[in-house]
Amino acid sequence: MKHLYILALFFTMVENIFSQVQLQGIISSSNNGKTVPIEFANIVLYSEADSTEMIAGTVSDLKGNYLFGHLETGSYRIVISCIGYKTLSQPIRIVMPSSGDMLIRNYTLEPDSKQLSEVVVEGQFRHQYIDHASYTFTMQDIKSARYSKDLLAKLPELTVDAQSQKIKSMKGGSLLILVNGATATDNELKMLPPDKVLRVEYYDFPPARYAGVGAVVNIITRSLNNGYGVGLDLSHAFTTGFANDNAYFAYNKGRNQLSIEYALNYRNYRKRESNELYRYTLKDEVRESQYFRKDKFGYATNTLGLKYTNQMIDRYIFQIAFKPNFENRFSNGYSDITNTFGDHKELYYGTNDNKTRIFSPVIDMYFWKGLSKERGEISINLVGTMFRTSVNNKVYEYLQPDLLQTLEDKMNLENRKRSLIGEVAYTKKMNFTNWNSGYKMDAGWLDSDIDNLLGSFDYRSHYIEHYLYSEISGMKNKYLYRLSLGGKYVMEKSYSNDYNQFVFTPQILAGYQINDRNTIRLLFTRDTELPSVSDLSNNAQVITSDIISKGNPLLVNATQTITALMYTLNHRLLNLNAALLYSYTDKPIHQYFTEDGGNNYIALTKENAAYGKQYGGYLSGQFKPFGKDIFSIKTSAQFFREQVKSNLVGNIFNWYIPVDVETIIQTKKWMLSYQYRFTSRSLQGAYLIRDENQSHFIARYNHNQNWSLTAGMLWMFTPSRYHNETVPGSLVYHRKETKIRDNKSMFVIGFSWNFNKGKDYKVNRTLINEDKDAATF
Amino acid sequence: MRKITISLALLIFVLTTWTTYAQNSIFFAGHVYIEDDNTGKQTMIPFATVRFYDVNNPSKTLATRISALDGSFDLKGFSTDNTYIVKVKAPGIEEQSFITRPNNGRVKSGNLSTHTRLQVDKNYNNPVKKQSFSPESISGEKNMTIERMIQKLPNLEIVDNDIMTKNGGSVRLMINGMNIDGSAFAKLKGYPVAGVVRSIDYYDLSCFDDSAYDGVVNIRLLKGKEAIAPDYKLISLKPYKK
Repeated sequence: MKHLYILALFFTMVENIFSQVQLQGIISSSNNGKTVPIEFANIVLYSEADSTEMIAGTVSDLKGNYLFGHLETGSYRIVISCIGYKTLSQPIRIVMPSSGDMLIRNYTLEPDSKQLSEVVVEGQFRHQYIDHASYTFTMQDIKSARYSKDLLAKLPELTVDAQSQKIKSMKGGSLLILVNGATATDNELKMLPPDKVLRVEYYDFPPARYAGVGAVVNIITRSLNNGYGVGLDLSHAFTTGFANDNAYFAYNKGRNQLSIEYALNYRNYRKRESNELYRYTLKDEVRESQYFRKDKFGYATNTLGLKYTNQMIDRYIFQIAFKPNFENRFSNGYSDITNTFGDHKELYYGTNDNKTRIFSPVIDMYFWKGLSKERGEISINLVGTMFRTSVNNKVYEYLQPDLLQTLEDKMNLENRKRSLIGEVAYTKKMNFTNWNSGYKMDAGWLDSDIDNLLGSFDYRSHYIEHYLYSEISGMKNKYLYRLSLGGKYVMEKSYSNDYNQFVFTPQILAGYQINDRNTIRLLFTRDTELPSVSDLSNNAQVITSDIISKGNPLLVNATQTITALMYTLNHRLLNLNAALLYSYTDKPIHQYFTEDGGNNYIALTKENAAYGKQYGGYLSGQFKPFGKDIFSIKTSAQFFREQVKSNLVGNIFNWYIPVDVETIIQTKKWMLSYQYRFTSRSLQGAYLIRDENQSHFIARYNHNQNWSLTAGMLWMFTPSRYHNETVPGSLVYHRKETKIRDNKSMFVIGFSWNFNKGKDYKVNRTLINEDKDAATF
Repeated sequence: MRKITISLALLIFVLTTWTTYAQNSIFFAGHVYIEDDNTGKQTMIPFATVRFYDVNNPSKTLATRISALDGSFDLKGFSTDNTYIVKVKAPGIEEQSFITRPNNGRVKSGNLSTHTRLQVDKNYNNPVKKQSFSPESISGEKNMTIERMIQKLPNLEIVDNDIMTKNGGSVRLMINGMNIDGSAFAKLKGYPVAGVVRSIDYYDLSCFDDSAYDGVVNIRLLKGKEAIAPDYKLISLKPYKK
């Protein structure tokens, strides 16, 4: 292992910016006699003696500029390609420059009307960098897509979630979507026409500023025209309450743009069934409680977005967004309960009624300024969020057969959380290196009042996290590197806890591009996970007559260190990402049962375990047996041996092997998709939690670029299932099996319409901050 | 332990930030010269090819420079904390190697001296031949520009702002005998020669093995200082021996 670290360090330190001759110039095209720079053209230098030997490659910037450093004098062949233009291929002689050490060569490409109209280009172009893969699309891809979201779904690493109809990562984990560096909602992806997408960057290891995000997708667009975009998406189930409805509008004039969007996600299920068993020893008595529960549940999430932007391209951007989000959740039902305490068995009847309301307005201000080519660029982001969470929960239990009331718990929870996130970042591009540095501050204040049968409690807490980072990344010949140095300083204060901690969060990525198809990368990373505000609150809630759940104010942050070796194959028939990974987490935060209240009851609470380990690997990719989109299979398979060592449950091992498979048939007008998941159980503290099952079929008919119809069947021939079970060493044996019968063979139909008339809107936003911790309990 | 970790992290952060800037602030600069052992007189050697190599990887050329009429050369963008081998090949003189000394904080800004004294026979004479062309000597064109005049010189052409020999050889451009930055010729080429240019001199280096350039074009302006030898005593880098 030590040698791997040394190798990783070596890769980051090899020749930095040394060069013999630098080659630079502008790629442009002539449009009605006017010279127009071509952005994102691929420029590749090959050996003149051996045209299969690639010497170096780069992409032109927004002004058509390109740069090669460290070239030896000699004869080469330069090949310049860009969608919509004829590929240029000609010899070039690199000589010692007459002045300075820079050789300037400008090139003009001719528009390719044939390619723009009907030509079919085989396969997407994928280029692997140290932390991301860059994709460009064929004209066939673009013509068959209604909006940019359809292009994202073509990436091997991404798919469309059949239930929410949003883009998600095949591998699981959080996904941040950006358009030109600015956060974008699903509706904003629909506002962007596919022919305006130049390329898509998929970051499997996001840069330091996106620390904590699973993966990042950044869509780079062409310049757009003034105009507007408007659209409507409706998707409903007929057999049960299920809806995903969206409406959006954007208007652009000159430097100003205004966009409005609204999304409603609505669920109203009536047939949820669960079977739950608790078995434990309390007061020297073996006790068992079994619940057969049937309830109704659902939610309505209203997302409203207002955004105003004022900008001058390459000079400055000012953006302000306001998002007043509302969410209502409910559940109510009844339970048949069997309590066996010692030899005594009693039957109960229980009812439960829960209402949760969350109001979370967010104001997000962003400013970016380009200083100059030499001085780089600076960005400032300020986000203020307020959460008002109100939970009203009523639980009653009655002893049968006389229905004598034995439990009455009316819980009212009021949470008020305010948070402020501020970030300043500086970016500078140098010859071979991109340099990013920044400072981010995240502060939150929580007031939480709870009222239930255990009494009335209030809880106040405050935290501040300072994050300072500096990162260099780049490519030198076939060697790729990224070195991030960061430090997080965390301060938490509550009535019972007050701790300050510094965590060093370095990241080292080193890679070698064997050839155009094969890349290997080595990763070493260290990061920290903070307990959420609800994890830290000791406000308690009743689960059963003997068991409560509550947070733990004494929790401290967990620190995770990951070492991984990754391999990427990029072939016309097969795109593959494979990795071997070892992860060690110091003091992981998990849920455990523990005795509490002077042996009067048991608490389900969060604890820092001694350590957690994970080793294994994953395999994800896309197989196109015919080399075309007509039929493809996407898959993601993980195989990890998980281990947790805890004072409460001992040393626990588990194999986690989930496999997701999606088969896609796509023609010009039709798209048929079937998603299936082979579920597995993952170890999370005292629990083994099985993934949600999936068996979804979706068919879509694109009538034209403006509207389409969707029909599908979710959870074909099976209800959605959820299964949790405690590990053998747990103080309480708890097993819960839930089925949502409404979901079984749920038939969903959707209609989508949109219209774009172009827009001159292109924000290169570089800071993304959002507080999503609503502090629900 | 925590304080040590914090201090270490901050130190690394500051160092990476500082070194990113520092890479471009201190640079190497020197002269190629010979010295008479008896009199101590130092004579500058123009058109010497100066090549830099990493001491740990001496087979790969990192950068190549040519000394100006006053023997001067410089090298920017390289870390001055590293050690380099400097190989100097002047016309008519055997190649000689020197080794730089790491800066290690001695020089805070400006340049680090890399003078190289070449050992030569007593009878050494600079063999480079010069051809000099005045604007008047080039057959007349009204308002002839500098670019046009160079194109009219025998065996030279201009490709994308680079002067080359007609058989594709590299040609270095100097103004008043000094090396110039990359954009200077693009700014200068449109000026008329009349009243601006005293002469354009061409030095043919194509017959010298191992020269980085096949020739040097020196535009001598009517105004401005010409390259002159330094008026102070130069101290050479130490010779490099394997």
